[in-house]
Amino acid sequence: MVLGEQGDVNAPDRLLVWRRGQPLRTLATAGAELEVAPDGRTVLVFTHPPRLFSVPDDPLATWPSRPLSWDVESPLHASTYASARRPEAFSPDGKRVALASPKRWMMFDVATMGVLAEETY
Amino acid sequence: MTKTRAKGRTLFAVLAILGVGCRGRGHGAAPVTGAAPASSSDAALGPMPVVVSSVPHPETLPPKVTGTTFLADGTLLVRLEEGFVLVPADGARRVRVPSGRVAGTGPSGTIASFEGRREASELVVRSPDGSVLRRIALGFHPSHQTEGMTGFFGQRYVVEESNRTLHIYSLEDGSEWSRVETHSAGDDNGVLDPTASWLAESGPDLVNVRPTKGDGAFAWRVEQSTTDGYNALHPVAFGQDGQLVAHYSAGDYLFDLHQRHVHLRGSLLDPVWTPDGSRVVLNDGKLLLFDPRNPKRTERIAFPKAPCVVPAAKRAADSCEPRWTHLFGRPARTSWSWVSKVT
Repeated sequence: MVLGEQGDVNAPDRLLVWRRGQPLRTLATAGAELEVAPDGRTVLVFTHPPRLFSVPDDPLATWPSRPLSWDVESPLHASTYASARRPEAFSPDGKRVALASPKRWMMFDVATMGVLAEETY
Repeated sequence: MTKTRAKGRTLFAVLAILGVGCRGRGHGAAPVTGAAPASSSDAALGPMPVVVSSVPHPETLPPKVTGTTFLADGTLLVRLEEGFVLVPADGARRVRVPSGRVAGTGPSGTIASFEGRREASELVVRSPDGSVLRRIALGFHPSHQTEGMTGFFGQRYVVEESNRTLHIYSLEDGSEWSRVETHSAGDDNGVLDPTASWLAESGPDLVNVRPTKGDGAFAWRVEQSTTDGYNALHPVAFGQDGQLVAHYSAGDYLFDLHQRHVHLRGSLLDPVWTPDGSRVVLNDGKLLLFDPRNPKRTERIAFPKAPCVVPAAKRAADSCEPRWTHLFGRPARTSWSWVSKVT
């Protein structure tokens, strides 16, 4: 599977998933940084607020009309990452995701989007 | 009111003689910060050299979160402006390290931080549970501008001094293993694993690379190579597991630095590694997915015809060509129309 953005170099407008040489689906109008979980099952797009997309086991057979997606229930926004390096938001097993703002950090369970830990300063 | 003020002045005089209640008031000294508003009786004392500021004392300022990173073992590392927090997978039993600046994370979840009374006088290596594994006295101030150069490389740790000298320490015994002078201008550096066996056998122990501006962590220039016959001329890219794509005068090469094996040669551009490191995506006009572990799985991907929204009269030659702008969240720097042949 290849995942990439297409469009104008300065304003990518399509987030694409490819497999076996064929385009599968336009996921979103992104225009933002994205990160693929290490297991390839989830994509985090750093929009406002950040959004998570899950990738089905067999995208060719089961891809829904709209990809399963939901907003991260977090007051944090992607602007924190605008000038940062790759945020590396996913845990190595892809099951957790962490987001941070200058005054707060949160760790979520990707499957349930439940908050596992958080701290506000 | 007059009686009250007189009583207050008398009381203050007594307390002043006894040395009570004057600490921090300063009598013209530095402002008191974070203090509670003066009481009504204090206010009645008339003009006093007390400054109450709404700005909290620096010690009471909350820490600023500068970022989060998952360690290799799954522990979440929360970087603060000063110090850091280690959060296990279940979120409980957090460990706080109150001082120090995180300088890097190792492959097994180890954390390196610069600590000490004066900034960056000591390199401390900790395990994910916060226990100290190694303390190394540096004796110099690491550069703040060279995060790309500072980090773990196997059982070595590299720190760049402000004067561009690279100090390579052994994490096994804390000794300084090697020291390298760099000469190129720029703000960022990177070091290829100096413990690779082929580097050791060829003499010099370090490949010093420098990223090009604006390309993030995946475009590098080899400045000091120990490989015979290979002199990189243009930016190269490092992947995982010792994979490297470099551009030479004779063409581009994708080779494995550890095995010293050339996988592909020809014209390769904009390599991007898949998140799991198993494949390299190369833009050779069409998109090519190359799996070094199983070359037979290599895929070639055709681009779709994208609808052109630019009026024909205003259409430039390539205005309707689809372009990859990002792959796996990393910038792709070229258009797909760049065509060459992979041999």
